[in-house]
Amino acid sequence: MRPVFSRSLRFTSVVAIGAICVAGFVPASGASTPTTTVNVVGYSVLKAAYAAVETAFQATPAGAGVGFTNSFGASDTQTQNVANGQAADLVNLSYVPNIQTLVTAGKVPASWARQEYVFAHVNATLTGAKAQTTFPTPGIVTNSVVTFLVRQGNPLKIKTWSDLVKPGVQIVTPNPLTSGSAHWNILGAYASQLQIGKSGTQARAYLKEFLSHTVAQPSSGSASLAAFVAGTGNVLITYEDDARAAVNAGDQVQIVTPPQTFLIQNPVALTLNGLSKPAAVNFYKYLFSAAGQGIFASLGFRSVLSSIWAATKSQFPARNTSSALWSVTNINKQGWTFVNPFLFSPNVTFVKGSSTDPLVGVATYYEQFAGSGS
Amino acid sequence: MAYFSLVVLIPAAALVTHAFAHGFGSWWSSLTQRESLSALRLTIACAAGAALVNTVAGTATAWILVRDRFAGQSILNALIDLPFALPTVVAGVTFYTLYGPHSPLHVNVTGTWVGITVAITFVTLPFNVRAVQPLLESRTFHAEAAAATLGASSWRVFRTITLPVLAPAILTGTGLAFARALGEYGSVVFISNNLPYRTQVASSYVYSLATSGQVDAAAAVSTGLLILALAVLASVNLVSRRVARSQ
Amino acid sequence: MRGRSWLLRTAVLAYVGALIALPLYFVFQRMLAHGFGAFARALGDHEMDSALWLTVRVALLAVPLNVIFGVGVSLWIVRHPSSLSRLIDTLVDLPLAVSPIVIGLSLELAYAQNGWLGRPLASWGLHLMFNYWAIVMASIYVSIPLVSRQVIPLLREVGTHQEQTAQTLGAGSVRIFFTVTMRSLTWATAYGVTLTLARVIGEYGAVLIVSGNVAYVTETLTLNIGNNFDNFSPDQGFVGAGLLALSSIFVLLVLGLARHRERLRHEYRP
Repeated sequence: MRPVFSRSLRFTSVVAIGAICVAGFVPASGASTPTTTVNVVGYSVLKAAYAAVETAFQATPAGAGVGFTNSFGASDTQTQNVANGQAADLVNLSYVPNIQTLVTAGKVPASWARQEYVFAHVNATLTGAKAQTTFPTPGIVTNSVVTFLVRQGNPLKIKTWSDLVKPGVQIVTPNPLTSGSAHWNILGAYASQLQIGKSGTQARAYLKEFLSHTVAQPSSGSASLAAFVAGTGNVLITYEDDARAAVNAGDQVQIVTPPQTFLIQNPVALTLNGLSKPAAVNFYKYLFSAAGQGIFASLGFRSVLSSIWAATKSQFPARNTSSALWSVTNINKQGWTFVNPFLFSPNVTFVKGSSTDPLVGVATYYEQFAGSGS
Repeated sequence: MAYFSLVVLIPAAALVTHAFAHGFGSWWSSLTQRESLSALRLTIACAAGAALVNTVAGTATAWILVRDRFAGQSILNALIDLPFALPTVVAGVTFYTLYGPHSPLHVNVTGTWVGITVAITFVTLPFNVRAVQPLLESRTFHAEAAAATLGASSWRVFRTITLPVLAPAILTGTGLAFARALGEYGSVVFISNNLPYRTQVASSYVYSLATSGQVDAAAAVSTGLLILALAVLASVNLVSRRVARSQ
Repeated sequence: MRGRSWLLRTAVLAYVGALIALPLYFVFQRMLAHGFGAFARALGDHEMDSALWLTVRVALLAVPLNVIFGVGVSLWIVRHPSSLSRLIDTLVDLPLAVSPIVIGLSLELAYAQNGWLGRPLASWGLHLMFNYWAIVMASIYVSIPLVSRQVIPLLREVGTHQEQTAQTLGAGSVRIFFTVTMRSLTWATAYGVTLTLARVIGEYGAVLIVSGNVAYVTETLTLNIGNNFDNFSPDQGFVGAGLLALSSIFVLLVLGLARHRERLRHEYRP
């Protein structure tokens, strides 16, 4: 017994050590090794879109032999991970302040939105003045709008933002601390009131009502859609492209386009690592090309390329395809620099003498009323 | 030892340092933010509720596993360990689907403290059972038999003779269950709906702080949770050592 | 007593049945909800298979490391009592009290590129966050106490006279360890190893934070299940969940066997 036992133990330890050596260094089984790999980090609802765009890119000459790694999740979470060192060549995040966080963290160059800077690296033909007219909003790769998703048949007859705060309405929107989609939803809610002529104070009061009707705040845009489709709540506020994906997937839901909405602009940037990878730069260009934009458009996004937008405009509701859509600069001339802390600062500062009307962190302040209404 | 400090001690030190990075005052204010307090309140309440239910249920389960004979007893014994063996995310999505909208049982406890408590009850039952079971197994019940021949009812026997002996072990189990429940994430986050100030548990709150750049606040709340759990575990250790000494 | 015990038995069985057996049954029911064909197809899902392989690779490294550490530190704590070993005893139990989210956060604070150890390591080209190594570290952290908690009580009980006898008979210390010490620890260690394995393949919260969730690269099976639910493919998620539930049943069987053998060993002690 004794020698046999120790021999088998020795054998087991040798096998274990061998396993350890193998385990650490064998990558996941996969196809042929690509010549170069582009690391993509994006916000949550992009997963299907990037699967399509990447496959199409790999079929082009510039994309032959290029491999991709993809990470998708709540936009603020993804931003933090990249800032903390997660490998990324191309980041497609939900809203511009995310990219600015990465600039501050030294991962993305400050000139990320200027295509001339980017394209100069690969001798592109689309530079300078021509770039300005073809891409009206530099650095923004897709547009969308804030929209509602309700159960099939719209049993609660939700049509406008004021319908959202009626008794019995249960709103699903993601958590503003982690999700980019949540930022857009709250912007949409706040701006909708300004658009119908209400004052800032009244808009803030509406925001409190809106948040009091939320019944769930999952961590990301796609998690919210999943929760809604699984039965939580009776209206989801989300990106138009995500809502269309749900309808196209055959879920028992329907889109309701509110009369006032908000322009969602999703930024994309090459990181400092990505700038030195020709494959990544080519992929970035592809995203802005007619082919790439066409794929985005087919998946429910609003193209930023004027030719593709003109061709696909008709598939979107007529009431919000005009260029008169509200965006961040309509709320305040300084755009995100003012709006981001004003609505979303985690530290709520109170106006002196008025403890019920916070100066900044408005949405964060009203979060405490979440779920108290309906 | 290097292994242990690299993986456990150094990260723990980093956590504590970040928690107090701006002084004790800012640690305290992060911990007592309204959202933090409501998350802590909810977590402690649900953990305590689940621990209480499982104290009774766990002791009863241990009792019938040791003092009873019936078909399927070994299956029951094995099943008790399932919450130890099953990944929390599997429990989480299963509870959401089983007790949520579209539930085959037509119950919907998502977004309620009930749902959270049920999930925690699942996860912590083994602690209560396994704390009491060994004690029952090694006990020789002579005193109980004597009391029974003297005419005491079985409940009285249990209450006056068995229970005092079991009490330290029961408390140990409850303490372990409670400490575990304070930090539970995977099994709770799906069914809770994660509504701040209402159904957001402490671990979920820390997660949202950590992943949105507010790491110092996240570290602060984490150390608060840690101190609470350690206090519970320390008292559990004290009690069980007293038990070991008296046996 | 008979009537009362019937009532108690039914109550407990109903409670455990509803709380534990029902969800377990439900996972399998959902796994096969669309028939065996769909289940077989779902098993071939590339992303899930890649996640499964990653989970296996993590376990292959984390479990043996923790077992070696667990047995080693238990021997040290029991055989060389001192205030330091008492301190280590308490510290080793620490991960039991810590939320996995907190574990993930503390690892990130230490090893991310701008972290305590992360910064110097990065300057040497070593990255230990948002990759395989981070997941291994998180798995080790959460399961560190599991082996020692089984082995320490047993070591205290068994004492050292067997080893001392072997020593007087002339055996070297390595031989003593493998043939005498480990023999009495076999089933306790097996119990601890199985618990460690279950914990490592089932870890979610800590891995969520430290992995970076890169599909096919740092997406473990637990992350894959969560991702499938968040990307509204719950059926695929339940297939992954079912696989993990199956492995849990295997774990339960081994645990039961280990417990049974421990009890036998107990009963035969002089």
